[in-house]
Amino acid sequence: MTLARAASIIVAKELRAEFRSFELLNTTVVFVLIVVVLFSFTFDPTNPESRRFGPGLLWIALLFAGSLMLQPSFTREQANDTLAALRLSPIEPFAILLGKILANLAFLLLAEVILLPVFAVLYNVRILPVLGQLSFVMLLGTLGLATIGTVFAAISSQARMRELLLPLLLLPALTPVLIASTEATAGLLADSPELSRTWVVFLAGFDLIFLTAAWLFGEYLFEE
Amino acid sequence: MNDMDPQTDHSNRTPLWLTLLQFVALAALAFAMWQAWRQVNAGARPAGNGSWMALSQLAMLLGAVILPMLLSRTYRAGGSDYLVLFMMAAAGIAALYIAPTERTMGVIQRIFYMHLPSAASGFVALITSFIASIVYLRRRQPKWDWLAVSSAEVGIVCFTCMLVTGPIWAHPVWGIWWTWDAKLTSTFILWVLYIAYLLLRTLIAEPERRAVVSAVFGIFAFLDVPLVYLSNRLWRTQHPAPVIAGGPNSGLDPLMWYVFLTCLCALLGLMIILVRQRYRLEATRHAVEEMNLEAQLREARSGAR
Repeated sequence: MTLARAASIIVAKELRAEFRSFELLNTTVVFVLIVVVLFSFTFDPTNPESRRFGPGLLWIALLFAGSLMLQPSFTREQANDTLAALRLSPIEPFAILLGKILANLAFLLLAEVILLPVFAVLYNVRILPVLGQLSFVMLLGTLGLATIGTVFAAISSQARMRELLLPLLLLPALTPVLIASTEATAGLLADSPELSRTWVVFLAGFDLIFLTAAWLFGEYLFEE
Repeated sequence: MNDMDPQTDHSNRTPLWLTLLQFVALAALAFAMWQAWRQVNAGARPAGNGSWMALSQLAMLLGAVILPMLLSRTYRAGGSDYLVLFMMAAAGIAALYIAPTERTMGVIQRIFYMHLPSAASGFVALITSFIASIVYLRRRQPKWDWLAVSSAEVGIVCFTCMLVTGPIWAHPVWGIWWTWDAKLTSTFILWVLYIAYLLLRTLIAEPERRAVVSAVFGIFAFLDVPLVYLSNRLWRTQHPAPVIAGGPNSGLDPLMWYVFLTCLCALLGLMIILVRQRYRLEATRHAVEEMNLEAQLREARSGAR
């Protein structure tokens, strides 16, 4: 079985499991909403000066959401020991990881599709003229978040206190994603929108480096 | 019952007097920090040659690290330990009395002889940890895991030294303790990541699992470092550009160079003997774990009979 096919089967399985209950998506969307609304109390969101904080705030909220919602992708498996079954199946270990990365990417993107309009309304930013470019930046940033996040979720699921541990491992490692995505998004939401090449290339490079690292070293996380 | 009974084996216990000595060393450290604080508050341009500052650095290093080790009966000091002790003393004296005082910054600049070498030895230690993690994943010999954790821990200590000496220098020179500049931010993130690495290790009980999982995390954390640096670099930067080999007008006074190299060698040597000592500790822990397992097995067997 090829890697792509094995990974797509895992993705399909993850999506099916999630769409039965919508547990992850519901909690993530509500969590990000709460964070975005809470941030509005810490400064005056109608002030154009403070609207510059919007992109950063959006990405902080997404990073926090990621550090909470990525954990279940492995703890769910542990509840019924289904990870052992996945490991026994005749596929590459990296296919499991890749499938989970892609599934988590899909969940996060779905959550963003719901949240972006709400964010635009609440913080009075115009996203329609730059929608295509903005989606591209969101995709690259979220891919970085999903890649490192899934690998670190696999790491922390093998430790005690895993729910507390994942944000500790994940958030500092995501600093480059936070800076690059925030700057790229801010460039797009400015008065004269502009897609920063530097940050897009940086984000793409980040995703590439960590996907490669996951491919090289991810399999070790699934040993017994 | 048998000679491996943990009840009768005292060799792993720290003697009381050594603990007390370590408290004394900690007090020396606190005193040193207080002196450094006083220097900073005094505008860091005291009369004389700023000997308190450098002396307190010396006290900090000698008192806190080496002397308890050398005096301990459980640690057999070798030639290299005395060599490093000598180098540390030489480095302290060189930084304090031999190096010329910098023209604009004054005495406070002498902290550089501690700041940059500890950063360098920290980086060497973390690179060692990174390489040891990769080799462990390929070869699966526990010794590489021991090396990885030992050098990561010592690297954190070096980075802590750097992160403490940096603001002490920055406050009088830049007028602020901390700034969100590329070098500062990335080393700080690096420090936090490796603290998370040690934390992760404490939360996994099974030795082999711990070794594998933390090796993967160590690799990811290390790969992140250049990216953190680059992202901050593209964003904003304030840290002084490299003075050594930086550009046409950069460069140190030759005497400053010699002092700097002395300090660099001394701190690298210190880092190496600390890693070696920590590695021995990890190996001993491993041996104790195995003995405990063996004893439990034996007990279970005799109980079953």
